[in-house]
Amino acid sequence: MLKDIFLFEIVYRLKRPASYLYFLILFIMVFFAIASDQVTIGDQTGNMLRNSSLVIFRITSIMSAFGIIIMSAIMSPPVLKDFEHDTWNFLYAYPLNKFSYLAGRFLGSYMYALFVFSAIPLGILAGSFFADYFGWFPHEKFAAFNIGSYFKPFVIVILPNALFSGAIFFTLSTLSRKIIYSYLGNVLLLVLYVWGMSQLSELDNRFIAALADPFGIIPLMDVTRYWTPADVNTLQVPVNASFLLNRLIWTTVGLIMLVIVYFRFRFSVQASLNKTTKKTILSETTEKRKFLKLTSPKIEFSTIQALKNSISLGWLDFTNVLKSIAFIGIVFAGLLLMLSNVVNTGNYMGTNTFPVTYQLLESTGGNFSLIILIIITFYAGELVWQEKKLRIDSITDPLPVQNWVYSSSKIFGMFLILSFLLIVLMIFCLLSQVFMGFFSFNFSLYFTELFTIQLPNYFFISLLALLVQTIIPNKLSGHFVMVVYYIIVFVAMPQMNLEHYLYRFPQTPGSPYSDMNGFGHFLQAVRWFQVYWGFAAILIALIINILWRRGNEDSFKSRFRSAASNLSKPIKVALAVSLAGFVLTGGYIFYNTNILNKFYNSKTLEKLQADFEKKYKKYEKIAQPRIVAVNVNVDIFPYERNFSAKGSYILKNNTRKSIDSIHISINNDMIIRSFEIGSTSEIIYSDKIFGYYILKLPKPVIPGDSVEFTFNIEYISKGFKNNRNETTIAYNGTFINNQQFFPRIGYQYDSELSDKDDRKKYGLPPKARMPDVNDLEARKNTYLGTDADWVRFEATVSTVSDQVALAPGYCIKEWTENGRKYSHFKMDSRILNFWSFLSARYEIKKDKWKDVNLELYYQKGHEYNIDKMFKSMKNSLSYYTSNFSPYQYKQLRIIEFPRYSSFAQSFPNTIPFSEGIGFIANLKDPEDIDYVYYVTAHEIAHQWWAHQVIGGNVQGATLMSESFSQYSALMVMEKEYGKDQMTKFLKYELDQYLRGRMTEPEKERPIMLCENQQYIHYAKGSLVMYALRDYMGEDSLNKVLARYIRKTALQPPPFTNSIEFLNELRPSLPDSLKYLIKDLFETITVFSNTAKEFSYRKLSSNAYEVTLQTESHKFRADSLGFETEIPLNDYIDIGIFGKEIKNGKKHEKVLYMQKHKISKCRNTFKIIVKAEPEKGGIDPYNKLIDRVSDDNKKGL
Amino acid sequence: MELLITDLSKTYSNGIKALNSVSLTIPTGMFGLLGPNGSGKSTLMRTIAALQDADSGSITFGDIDVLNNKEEIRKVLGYLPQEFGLYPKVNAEVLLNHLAQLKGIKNASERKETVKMLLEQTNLYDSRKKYLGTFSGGMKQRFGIAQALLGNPGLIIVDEPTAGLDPAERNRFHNLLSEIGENIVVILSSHIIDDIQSLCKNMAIIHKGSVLMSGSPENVVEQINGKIWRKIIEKDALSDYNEFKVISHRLHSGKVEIHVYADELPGLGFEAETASLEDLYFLTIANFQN
Repeated sequence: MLKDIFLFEIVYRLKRPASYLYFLILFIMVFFAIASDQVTIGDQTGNMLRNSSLVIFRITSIMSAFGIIIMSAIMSPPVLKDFEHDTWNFLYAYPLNKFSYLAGRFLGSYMYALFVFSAIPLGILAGSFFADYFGWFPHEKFAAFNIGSYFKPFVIVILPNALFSGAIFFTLSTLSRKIIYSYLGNVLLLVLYVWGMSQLSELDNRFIAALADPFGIIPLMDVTRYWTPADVNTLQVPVNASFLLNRLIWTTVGLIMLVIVYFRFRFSVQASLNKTTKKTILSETTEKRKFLKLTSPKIEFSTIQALKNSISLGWLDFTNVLKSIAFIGIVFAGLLLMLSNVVNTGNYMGTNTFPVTYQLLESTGGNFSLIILIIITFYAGELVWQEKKLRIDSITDPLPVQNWVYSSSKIFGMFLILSFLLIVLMIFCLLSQVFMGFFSFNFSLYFTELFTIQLPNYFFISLLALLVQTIIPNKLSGHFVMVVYYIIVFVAMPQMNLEHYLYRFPQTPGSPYSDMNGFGHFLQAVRWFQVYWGFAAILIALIINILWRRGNEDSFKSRFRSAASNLSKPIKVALAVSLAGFVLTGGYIFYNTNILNKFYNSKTLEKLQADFEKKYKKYEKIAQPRIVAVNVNVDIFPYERNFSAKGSYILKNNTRKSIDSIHISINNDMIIRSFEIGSTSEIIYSDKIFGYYILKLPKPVIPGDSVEFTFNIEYISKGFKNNRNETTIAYNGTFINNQQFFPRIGYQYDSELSDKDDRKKYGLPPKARMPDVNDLEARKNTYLGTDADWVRFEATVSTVSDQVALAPGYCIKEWTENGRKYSHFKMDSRILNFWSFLSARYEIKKDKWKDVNLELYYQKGHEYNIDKMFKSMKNSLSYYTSNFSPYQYKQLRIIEFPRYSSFAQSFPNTIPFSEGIGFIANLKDPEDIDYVYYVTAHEIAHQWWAHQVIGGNVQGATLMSESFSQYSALMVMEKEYGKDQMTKFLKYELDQYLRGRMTEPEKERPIMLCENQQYIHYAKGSLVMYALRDYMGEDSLNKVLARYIRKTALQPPPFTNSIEFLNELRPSLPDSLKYLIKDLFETITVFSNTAKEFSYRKLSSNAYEVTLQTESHKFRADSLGFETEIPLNDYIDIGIFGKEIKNGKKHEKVLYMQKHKISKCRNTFKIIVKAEPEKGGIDPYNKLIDRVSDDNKKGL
Repeated sequence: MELLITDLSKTYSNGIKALNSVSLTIPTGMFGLLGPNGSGKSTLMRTIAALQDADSGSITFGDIDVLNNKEEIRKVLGYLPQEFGLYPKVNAEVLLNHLAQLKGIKNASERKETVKMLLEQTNLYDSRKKYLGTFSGGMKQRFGIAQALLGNPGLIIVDEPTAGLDPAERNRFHNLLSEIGENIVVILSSHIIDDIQSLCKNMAIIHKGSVLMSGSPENVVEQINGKIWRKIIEKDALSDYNEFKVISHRLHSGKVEIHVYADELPGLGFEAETASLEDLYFLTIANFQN
């Protein structure tokens, strides 16, 4: 019998057209993920083969996770269909064997599901074959066929995923006899996955996250976390213990579900999930004779009455939804998910921010929107179909109720559901704030964000969902159509560079919130798009009304006919009006986004970049004078979001040729009023599209001579843009810099395309990311620009009267004129040609360190951490001046700017600092990393490392700016917070470095040749410099740095390079440590240190002999991460740890810590310590780069 | 007020001709529709109830053009479908009240009174607070009847209304219907020929989408009176009567009783039988098949 049921099930399923649809969708998605750049599933960077084992594994697991939507559609009906079609009535009276019935149905559907999911490996295989065969990508981008690469993910991921998710859906739907419980299961699995992902940011939670993820994506990420491009392309994905355990857990969950369904299922009328509801069929009451007397109530059909009916019907639907257990379950699951977001609010390096309203809304919003989309998708189907499902439609359809009453009641019901969800979200956030002891609720932000931005958006989507359910004659297909729509609009279109919001219903440009600037100018575009989509929504509502399914007709012909007859005159008028409104607002938006402003999608931008290079690269090497002095007058009009700048550069001819024309590059958004040199110069070439101008001089500048170049330029904001809305000019919080908006002399290489594949695509020759470290020609420029070295700087800035405008330099004069505030800034020494202007309504706090004026300009309400900032300013100045060189200025300012970007940037004596990286950090827990202190120290260090010593524009330049600043900040931080905090900090740096290697698009470089690679100059920089300090001592390292500053500070071209630094360092290292230069700076050196065995015996009450066995390997890696083992001859820390109780908390106590020379792989150490040891380890603090950093210590 | 059906045709997308140029005039009073399963009865009733469109033809009720003015017909319609469901988690009184609202009974106290009256009439008053999900088949059917009577309909369509009712309930329902049916149009479909005969002033027989006969039951039966002959025969002798026009045969104490249609006594052993509507029904169907 089992066999018959099994075969019938398979045949039944295979006959359904949906089967092939599922197969096709999976197949097409993975096919194009492999065979095109338009579809991306998981990361795919330049160095990776298109179909390496990891890529296949990753695509398989992501698609398998996506596939649970399909799984629930496949695995819910096997038993449920007997109830939907009422076949149970006779079927359950048959002598069926429960096991055969359940097993046959389950296995049949499971096999069928495997058929559907076989589309994944087959699609990948086909994609690889076609793309390779037809040369869509070069042949070397494809790995050789290896059956294991396909087979392994199928066995490790698809089989168990399909089994447990199938078992869950099968069990839930079979026992409850309602498909919605399957969806609930879906949501719960998703919650676990998202929860797991959110745990990944805390390094210590990786194991638990790997176990919790039901789909196997996190364990896969975990096991390949530190892979290099070489590993990605050559290794097969290993399945480690946590991966296996994960698979075991979830397979077990699946089997348990199957056991449950076997024992709980009964061949009976009742669902077996809810035992408590006893159905008692009422018996007939005895007959009572009554004479017929029909009352004659007044009947009235007014519009008001109809409206009331619509509202009461909508309310009825809404309360029915609220009563459904599945709805409560989904919302509850969503709240659980958000709880994990809330406890990690704004997490950066393990430190949270205060739960301010916008931060909470942001960290919960993403996940909750997923929940809302699920609810919209599902309940649109429920609302539209519920009368049919209950078969009450045969009573309600003939009622004298107009279509619009029914259709609008569904729309109203949906509106109530959405409002309810957003109110739940708001209450949840408010409660979270209360529980975290944070009482500055921002109610108006809650209202604006949730009910005027999010609610319309969800409401529009829900209208679409209702329309789909109204059109499509099957609820499940309707759900699927919506999922496809989500994928197209949210994923596929952006990937295919379809970026205009005009055709991405119902999206609007983003509206980031900032405490400084509120929603700023972003709201205007949002509102216009909302009006636009609002008209579309009215159209949709009208179409829903016209197409409303009523009666028994379901053929398209008759539905079309009834639709035509529904087109009454008022409806036609409404259609016409809303269509006109839609077209008109669309036109107005288009006028703003594409005519007043330029609209470029990413593809066009790329092409423009390529064209720019093709057109003007020829001018790169022509002789141009250099800027030696800057004097600008900037008028900022923050409330109009405009500024104008009049100013002059003194240009000096440092070349050996006479120069007769000046080339000027400038942002093409700038309006050029004039470019002049003297009164008789002439613009002989102007290209407004690329912002390239050539100015002919009345007479050539001879070598050594200077001319004054004056400019008058303006930036005028017009209307609104589709995307890339300028964030630098804001109502409150303008922050503009010279590189972005001001004229630059000569061809600027920084707007060239850098990605090697992109360059190839546009026929550009390959380009080195940075010139060779020894390139003397390139070293004539700093890496900040080619048109200046050190300049005199002077600026006058004006702004509206309620704001403060700032520029680098000392304020020498302030005045008010015509209701505007003017400030005149001047630098007393030469600076890099790197300056900026800021304007906002600031609070100001001042302090002093020695004779240096410290100033902090911040947003009112952001007082939380300004004391920490002042402390960091003072400690940094004090450490750097006593160890490196004097501070070159008499002033140091930190200036807050809106959180549209999250960085701080060091200009001469002026540090703009984003409100997003520290002003609201919650530093109450002393165990947390104080990144506010660290970022401040890092930026101040740049006053030395960049503003005194700056590398030439060659490889390794950022070693001297970024890595040395990291080191400086680490030292300042260590003095304040101790070594433990450093260990914690460096753990994040190690993680970041090792992860960065995988996504390297070109070549990983040793740090001395670093090509502005962040994972190297920041993360590895910290590790390398900290280790160097550990080996040679802080004092001697600082002496080297101080010497190096003396030699190179404020030097004229050519600028220094990393080789000069290493030459400075080498003599200060004892011979025994000279190898460090090679290991740390000149090569990529990776260790594998492992503590193998740890034991001890007690010799006396204060003497314990520890035996520690270790294993060490040392590797050199090439630019792709291919490793070669090299002999050991290194000094490595050996540490023994005990414990101590401090403030009632257990702490690790160092009993022994000494560097040992290690020259063979396996070593045994016998060490006598004074207290009872608990653990021992080799390189226990991870000072060396080690890809498995958590096996360096071992306890008993 | 009468219901006028003219030349109504309907072919389903699978090719089945459900209505084939149906024309009927249905006056005030009870009107019975007789016909085998799949004859087109339900299609006809659903079309009158504006649940379905026709391919051609027209239906008018008074001056309402039913096919083109669905909203108007709905205002005067009471409809009891053959199959229907109810919200399981709502009680009878609440749902009936809600439906009354939708039927346009605006005044709350009038509505309450109407609901109470109908619940009493259908003997559901004692169960009015019970969830509809707990109702038995018969109670559900009675609820269906109650909702069809809401708001003084001028046209009532009931499709197999007494299915699932016990004999007592059936009688009560018949009484109720015939009282209402005195002044308005009531269309009733049934398999139970006796019901039609005893209740309906007029009737029609439908088969394969066509009206085979219509008129008042007495008149139409009168046409064949005196032409029906009855004989009791052995079970295996049925094939011997192929030459006769056997319109029905049924078991009778282990033997078979046959009815034969003939103008004169067809042969030995036959005796005259008073013609019934049932005889007419079988004869009409049989004639059509030939």
